[in-house]
Amino acid sequence: MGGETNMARKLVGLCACTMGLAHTFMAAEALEKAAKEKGYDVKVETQGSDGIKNKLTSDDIAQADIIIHSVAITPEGMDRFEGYEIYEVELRELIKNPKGVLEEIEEDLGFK
Amino acid sequence: MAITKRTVGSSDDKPIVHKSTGQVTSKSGKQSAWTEISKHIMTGISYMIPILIMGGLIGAFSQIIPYVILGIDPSLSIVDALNSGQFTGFNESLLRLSNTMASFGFTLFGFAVPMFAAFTANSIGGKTALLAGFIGGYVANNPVAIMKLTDGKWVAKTPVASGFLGGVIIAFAVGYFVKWLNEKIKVSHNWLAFKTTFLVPLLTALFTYIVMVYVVTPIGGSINNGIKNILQSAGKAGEMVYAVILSAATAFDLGGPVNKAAGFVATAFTMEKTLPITARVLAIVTPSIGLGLSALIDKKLVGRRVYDKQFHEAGKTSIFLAFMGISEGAIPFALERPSFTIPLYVICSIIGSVTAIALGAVQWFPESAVWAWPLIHGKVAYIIGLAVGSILIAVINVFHRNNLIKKGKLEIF
Repeated sequence: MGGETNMARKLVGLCACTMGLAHTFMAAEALEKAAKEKGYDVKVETQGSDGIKNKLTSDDIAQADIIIHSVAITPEGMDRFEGYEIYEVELRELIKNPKGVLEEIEEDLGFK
Repeated sequence: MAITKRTVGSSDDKPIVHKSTGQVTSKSGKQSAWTEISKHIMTGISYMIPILIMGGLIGAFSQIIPYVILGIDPSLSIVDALNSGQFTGFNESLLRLSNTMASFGFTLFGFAVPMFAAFTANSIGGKTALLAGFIGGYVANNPVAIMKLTDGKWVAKTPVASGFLGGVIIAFAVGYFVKWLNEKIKVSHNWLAFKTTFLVPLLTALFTYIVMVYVVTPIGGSINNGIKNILQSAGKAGEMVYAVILSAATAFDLGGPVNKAAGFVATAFTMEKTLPITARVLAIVTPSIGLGLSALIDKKLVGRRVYDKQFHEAGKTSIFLAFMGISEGAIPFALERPSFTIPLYVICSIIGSVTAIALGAVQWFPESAVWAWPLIHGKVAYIIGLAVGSILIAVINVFHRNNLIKKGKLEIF
């Protein structure tokens, strides 16, 4: 795995499922865990039925090396991401195989 | 693997690069268009379900208090019961409370379609579309009165509501209209405020007004009239023909213009004691019980879930509301995959009603709720008919969705 990280790269994510009860948080947890294992500095915003938690600020987004959106609905505050390149991943994919998703994105960005 | 890379744009979010490492299956254009539409619909549904649950439950409790706890006669309205003088003291207060609760519950309920339309439109076209969608959805439930010349005098008449189908139409129309306006109207930076705070909202309001008042509502109205005529002639054609058409029309739009037309004719017939209202009271609840059931029995039937988790709550609510005589709990299910679900529950409602009537169920009282069941002649036949219709819906729906999942056309997780 990507062990030799010179400086922790920053990864931000946004998860939101339709009802905001389960999958939002399952995906967020999976992403956080996988990203931490890979040595990322990670912050994941969840837009669930209990509102927006762990909200990403525009600084967070500006400093991020990777932005991941895993949403089944149109999330709130999309204007924050305007102009940024983001990766959209299906919630199911992220829950099932967070490492695989990260590896594919890293490969795409040439991080390896 | 389904990873898409894109740049978030100001007005539209087109995928710019399709991730193509390894065995990436590039989605066909048609499929992603459907994914797009379904995402908008699901956004709307997710905001609607809590309202249906809140409003439905408060409305339902307001009916349980008088008809179950106090045991008033199902043919009496709450106000009639209050005025009958039979209830005093605490029971009187309970009755007064339940009447107020009923109004509040049904007020909440009335916001289900506006909320759906608002957030579906918002998902497509952003803030301006949110408001226009909300208004459009509201007008779908509470149509604007229009001037009509009757007997040489102009009178304001409120047309028939277009219901949730009207709400879906306006949500998409207005959402894409706003999106299109934002893309097409190009102004210099100085004029941006003028565009976004005045021009686009104004054009959108006019658009909503024209589409709702002059297109959607009149179409609903003419369908309503057509169904009324069909039902009236069906009433003359015989009991079974009438039952078939009545249950189909009642089930079809879950409270929309077709359902209202059915109610109008059926209530008249049952008041005159010409034809019983059995088929209608059954068809009001069969779709809700059947669809609700399909979200609950899926795992037992095919060993996997065929509905997302959110639909399990919606399913329970839908069934509970059905026993209270309310059909709107099924709307999220109908919206989620209308092309299959609507024909399914229409046909199964017909089968259920015809079964019940053939076995001898007769109901003259226009109420579907469980506390009106004592007024039915042939209760066993009625329950068999209800069971046949609902179970057919549930089983066929589960197997169909299971097939879709197997073919990879539907994703549940």
